[in-house]
Amino acid sequence: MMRRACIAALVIASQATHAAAQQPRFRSETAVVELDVSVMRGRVPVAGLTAADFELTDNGRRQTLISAVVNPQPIRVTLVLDVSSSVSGSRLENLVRAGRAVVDQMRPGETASLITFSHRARLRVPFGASIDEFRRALTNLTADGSTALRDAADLALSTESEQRTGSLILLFSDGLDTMSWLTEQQVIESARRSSSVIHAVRAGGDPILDKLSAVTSGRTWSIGSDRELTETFTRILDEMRARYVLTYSPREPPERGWHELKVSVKNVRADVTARPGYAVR
Amino acid sequence: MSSRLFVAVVLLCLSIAPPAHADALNDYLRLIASYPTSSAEAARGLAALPRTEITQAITACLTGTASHNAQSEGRRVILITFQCSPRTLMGAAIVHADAAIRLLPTDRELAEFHVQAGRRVLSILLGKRDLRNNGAVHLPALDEIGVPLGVTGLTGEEARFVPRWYALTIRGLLAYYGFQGVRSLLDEAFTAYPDAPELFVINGLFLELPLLRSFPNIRAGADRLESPTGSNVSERARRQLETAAAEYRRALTASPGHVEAKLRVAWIHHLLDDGRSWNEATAIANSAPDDSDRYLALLIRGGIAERHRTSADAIASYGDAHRLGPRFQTGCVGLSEALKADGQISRARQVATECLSLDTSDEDDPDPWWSFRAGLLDAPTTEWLKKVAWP
Repeated sequence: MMRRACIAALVIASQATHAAAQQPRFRSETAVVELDVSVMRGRVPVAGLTAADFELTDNGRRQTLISAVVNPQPIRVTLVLDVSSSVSGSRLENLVRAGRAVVDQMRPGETASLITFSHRARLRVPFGASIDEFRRALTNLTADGSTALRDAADLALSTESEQRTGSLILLFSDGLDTMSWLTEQQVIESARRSSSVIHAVRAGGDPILDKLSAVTSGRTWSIGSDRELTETFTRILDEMRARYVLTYSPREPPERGWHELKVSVKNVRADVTARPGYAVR
Repeated sequence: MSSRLFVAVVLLCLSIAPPAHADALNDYLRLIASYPTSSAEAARGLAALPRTEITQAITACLTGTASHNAQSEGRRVILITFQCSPRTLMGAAIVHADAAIRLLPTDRELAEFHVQAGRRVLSILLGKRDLRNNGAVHLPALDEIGVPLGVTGLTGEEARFVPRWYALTIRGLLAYYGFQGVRSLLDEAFTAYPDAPELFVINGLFLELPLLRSFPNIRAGADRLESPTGSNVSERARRQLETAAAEYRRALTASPGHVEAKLRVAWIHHLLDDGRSWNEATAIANSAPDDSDRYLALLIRGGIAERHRTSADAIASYGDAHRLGPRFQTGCVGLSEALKADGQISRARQVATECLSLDTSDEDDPDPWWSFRAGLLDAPTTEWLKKVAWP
């Protein structure tokens, strides 16, 4: 039986074939890699693609895709929202409205959680909570304090479960990190190893947001006005739901270390966003 | 000064407080007295008093009753017992500083008024204190007769009250005024107290904090700093950090036990990848009397271990920090990251989940890293000042 593994934590599965007692036993190893990618034409997800439409190289070697399907897994959304003092006033009101829009648009099977941060990061709503609880938590938000963006992002990444696609971290911040303990390198490494996709929404904000979204095959969304928050958050949800999961079995047993990935589409004009690679431990 | 001239000068300052001033003084003194039990309320109450009342109250502090029969070193002097005792003036200075810091986000002008009021009561304090007369005073407030600040009759530990007040107030103002805005206050304090260790620490912060603000990722190593334009600024940053460390060492020369100065030297050595930092941080962790200082030393030790020692050392240091401060996020975050780096992913996830659900009920006891990182108010100095003013 082939064992599927998420791109971020590649597992070599083994399959033992048993023959009669007098016959030699042999073992074969197969590995399967899943990679979720976004295919957009401007602001619109490109639908209807199949494995034949994609080209993928792993460390420069062309791979044959087994399948390319729109992500069948219900998405898990972690809202990670900056509630430092710069977010107070109408920005906070618009942020709450945007958060509510996310919750209101959850489909059956989809779940959301809420983490807020200023100098302190807090889990306000865990996965599995009711919509009412979520709405109440959003309504009760206040903005105060400094900004520990790196620490909060790392905690959000660390608490995500491994080996699943469809995990979205929707991260909003409007300021520079003034308080974190962790370094940028540490958080980017956590993001690289995570299976989550980070879409970062920035109003100004720290340049690390761009780096986090890039290494996780997400995007950075810069808003000019707080009124854009709701539309931006809901577009992120739509884009996440439209991502493709590409599956392939590497031609050779994967070597330990970093694997650089390149993904493109044939015969279609579109922008493909995929992780830059994965690590084999 | 001849005794005749001296008597004349003293008489200039003698006055009887009119009834309105007495009310203002009573309200003022009541707020000052209430500060130890309800500091936020007292500071807010003082901030809400009309400025004219505060000015009247402080002026009333200068008034008192005179005794004409005292002798001092063979001269006839007039002893004046003022309405505000030295400890009241110390308390008033603290409450004014607290009020100023609370006002900064919303009313800078009124905040400045309270800073000036704090300085004024201190100048009265310095002018009037004479231990030889058991608390009575034979000199008027020096600023009232144009004598520059700098003369003190305070002795022993109390003599450190004024430079520590300046250090506390400057830290509180830094977040809003920036360094240039409070430079004159620091210069004033240094003029009067050129050897005060707490002022050397502030001097060091003036050098260190701009770098922490410009390079929030500085803990990755001073050698990896880039300006927004991408140019390498490591050499300049290194020099500035080393100059800051030199100020902290001056503080240690003046006061070898100064824990914050030790911590900041160890911290800068960590940023500079200086090999001394591990032993320095370990020594503080083993000997600091205060848990907050031990916690900070353990964090720094964890950071050093991440780069230069084993993951077991990092896990041990952060683990100790987390046990010492189970409600503080930074130790928790450090531990989670160290576990992750060691490949203990499940345990790292468990700790990260804990970090997001820490008990935040006691906001008066925040994570010491936050104050240290921002160079803000340090709790031990605040407590010391309060104990001196309200024994």
